[in-house]
Amino acid sequence: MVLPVRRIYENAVVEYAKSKEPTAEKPTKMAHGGLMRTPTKQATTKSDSNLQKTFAYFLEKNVESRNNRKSTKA
Amino acid sequence: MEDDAANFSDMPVPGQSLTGKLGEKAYERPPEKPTVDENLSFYVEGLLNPEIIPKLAANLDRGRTVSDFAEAVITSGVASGRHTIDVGVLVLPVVMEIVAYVGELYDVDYDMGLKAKSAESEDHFMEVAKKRMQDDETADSEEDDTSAFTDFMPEDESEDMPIEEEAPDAPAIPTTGLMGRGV
Repeated sequence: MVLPVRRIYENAVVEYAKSKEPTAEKPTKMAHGGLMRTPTKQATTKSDSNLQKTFAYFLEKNVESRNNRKSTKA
Repeated sequence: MEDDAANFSDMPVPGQSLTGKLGEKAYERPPEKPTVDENLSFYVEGLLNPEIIPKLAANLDRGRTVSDFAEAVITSGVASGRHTIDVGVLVLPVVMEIVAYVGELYDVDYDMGLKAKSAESEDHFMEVAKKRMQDDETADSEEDDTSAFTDFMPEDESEDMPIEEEAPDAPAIPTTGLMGRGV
């Protein structure tokens, strides 16, 4: 193997799992006494979101069919 | 003899493959599809082509792993100048999932190729190589510094070498220099 395929794939799965987690937005108190909501999500470009959406779509389909196949085989 | 000389002159010079003009190879030129989106749609359409799907499923059924297939697709895309390696790395997980999806469509018991069959191949081969180099360095530092040279030397050469004895009737060597007077 030339590319570290396993790591690339695992990173993508971890990113997908992170995106599924609910983001806790805690407001931070400023020096002037006001509250500021910190942006917890990173700014994503259109191509990033398309990539993640496509990956998530196929991953969810595959996981679902894998589970169904296991249940029918067992 | 003349044929050999002629063949020798026709042989490639070592490193000749590295002396091409910049931009001759496809991967040295700007990529045909520079964006992730373009490549994403290219791979989705290409891999889910009705003519390709049965062949892909047959490959998976024969035991080819998903990761190997996806890597081959991406590296060929880089080599043919379709996209850069960065874009290829970004698109690789999607290609893997599409290939796995085709396996699921045909109910093939495919292998993702992510689990190592041995402890050595658990990590990437570069890491294995680095670890081996570090192990070798630590092993060398523990040994004596001269061991590297003595390893290549025969155990004791002096035993085999015959000792030349001086001839008994040899004339005495004068102790003075050339300009000195003989006694």
